[in-house]
Amino acid sequence: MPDLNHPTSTLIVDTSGAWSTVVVASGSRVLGVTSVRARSSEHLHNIADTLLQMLGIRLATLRNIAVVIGPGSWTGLHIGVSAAKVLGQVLDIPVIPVSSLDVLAAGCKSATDATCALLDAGRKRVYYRWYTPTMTKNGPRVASISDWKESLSRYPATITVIEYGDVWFSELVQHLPHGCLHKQERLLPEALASVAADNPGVSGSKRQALTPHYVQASLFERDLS
Amino acid sequence: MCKPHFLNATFPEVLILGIDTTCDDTSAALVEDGHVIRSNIIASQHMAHERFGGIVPMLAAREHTRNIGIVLAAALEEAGASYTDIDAVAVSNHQGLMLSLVVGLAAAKSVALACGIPLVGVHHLEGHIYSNIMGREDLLPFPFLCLTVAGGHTLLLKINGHSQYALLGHTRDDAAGEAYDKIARRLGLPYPGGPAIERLAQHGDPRAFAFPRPMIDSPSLEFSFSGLKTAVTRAIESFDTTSSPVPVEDLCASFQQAVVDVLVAKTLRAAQRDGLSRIALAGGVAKNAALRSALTSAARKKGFDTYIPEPELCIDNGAMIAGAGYYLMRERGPSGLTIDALANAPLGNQGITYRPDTKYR
Repeated sequence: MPDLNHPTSTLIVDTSGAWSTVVVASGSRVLGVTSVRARSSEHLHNIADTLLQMLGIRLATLRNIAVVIGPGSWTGLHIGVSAAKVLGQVLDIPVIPVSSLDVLAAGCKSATDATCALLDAGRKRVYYRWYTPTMTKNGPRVASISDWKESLSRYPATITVIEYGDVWFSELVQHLPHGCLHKQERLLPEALASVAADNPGVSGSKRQALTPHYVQASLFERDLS
Repeated sequence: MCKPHFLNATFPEVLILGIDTTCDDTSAALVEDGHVIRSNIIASQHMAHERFGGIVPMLAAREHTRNIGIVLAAALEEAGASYTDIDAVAVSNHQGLMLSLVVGLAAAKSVALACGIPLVGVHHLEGHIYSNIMGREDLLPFPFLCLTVAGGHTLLLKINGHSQYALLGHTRDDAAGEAYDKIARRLGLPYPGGPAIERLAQHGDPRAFAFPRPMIDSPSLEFSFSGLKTAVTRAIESFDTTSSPVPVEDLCASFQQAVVDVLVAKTLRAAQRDGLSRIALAGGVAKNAALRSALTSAARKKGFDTYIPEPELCIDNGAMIAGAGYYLMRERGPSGLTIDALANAPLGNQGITYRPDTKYR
């Protein structure tokens, strides 16, 4: 039985979609998870508190906080990031920023040549990022759906597209004659833990300055430039 | 880090962290025993919103998220305190911009959860009312009348006790501060409009334009500023067809005098009608020197005592939230981690609704 209060645990917060998810992990191993389809402003802290109590882990013994910083829900990401950075500040531990697109890709165990993580950006635009089987990344980018479809031609081999959120682009299927389309309503706990374990945390002024990324297509383009 | 509940023990000093992210200011404060301000940090977003001529809610949320950690650290440093010294967290979770409220609420819940201390949700307007007790040794005795006047509301409240309010009157349309902002925008003045108009009004003639004083003779304690705003707009437009420049200073002075006359007259009428000898002023427009001076002077002539917060406590700030939280937690108990933010929420134990055409939850 592992000592759960040994300072190796990471509390992972995901409020990027319709679900509020809290994961406690040790490295990439998930120790516990709670996920509710409800307003994160109301429930996030309560489910985190309940999960930690169930696992018998004290907040003060956490080693890191990880938080999904986007793309995703504007309000949800601001709640998650604000909550995580203040928790990190009070507990004086690093905060690990995590991309929702990276988590989508990590959650897809596909043997295809390329994987694209995709998310609705509103106004018929999408956020997307391409990944090779070795998880080399290309992007992230934001583009109109038609421009994104054109980009498929650059990936002639079979591809996997993982679509995240409540808005499904069902017409995408016809553009994937040699590929497959996965839909995810929420980010998977194992993938959250895996990506959090692979990313560095930030402390001090960098932690204080942490903000959500890619919550709006125009801001995304400005951030990229 | 878990501390004993301060309400169950006799503490020599109770230190409350107050957080306010209701609109476009990010604020955190540490307040001792409900009234001694040890720090009150306010990060203004005026520069970020100025080029848009008003507050952009999504931009406000982004700035709150960026600033909240920095503001919390600054409040602790100025107070010479650490997170382990805090006994409770108070946060404004009711009334304001939803996208802004949730940032402060998330931060407050994180502090409460990590420190193992109670959390109390405070209605933003209650914070403004309690700004009258901040920095004072004595608690303003109940009952008293409070004119709460800001960009989003204009209210006359009878304050009977902690969280015990009676609504005597409110605006039927625009709030007084809203009229200031709209007139300022029409004149091309920088945001925020209230201070800009006040500065120009100091050099103008308040009798230059005979603007209406809406509902000033009505026995009702309700306000209306929409007609006044239209009258000022027409006056500005009358100069558009001539080669004469708009006499901005006279126009600002005349407009401000009309607003002040109505606010003072209605407030004194309310105090007389309800037999209240103490009058308090609160809200962002309470910072206006002309209003402060006129109300104090008129009230003194009628034998009323006036209580007006220091100007820096009239704007949105964390200290007033901490002060209100101290008393409201004793009255209602802690809120728990599942409180939510509400853009429009009823006020006090009686659930007062005070904005026309607004759906309350």
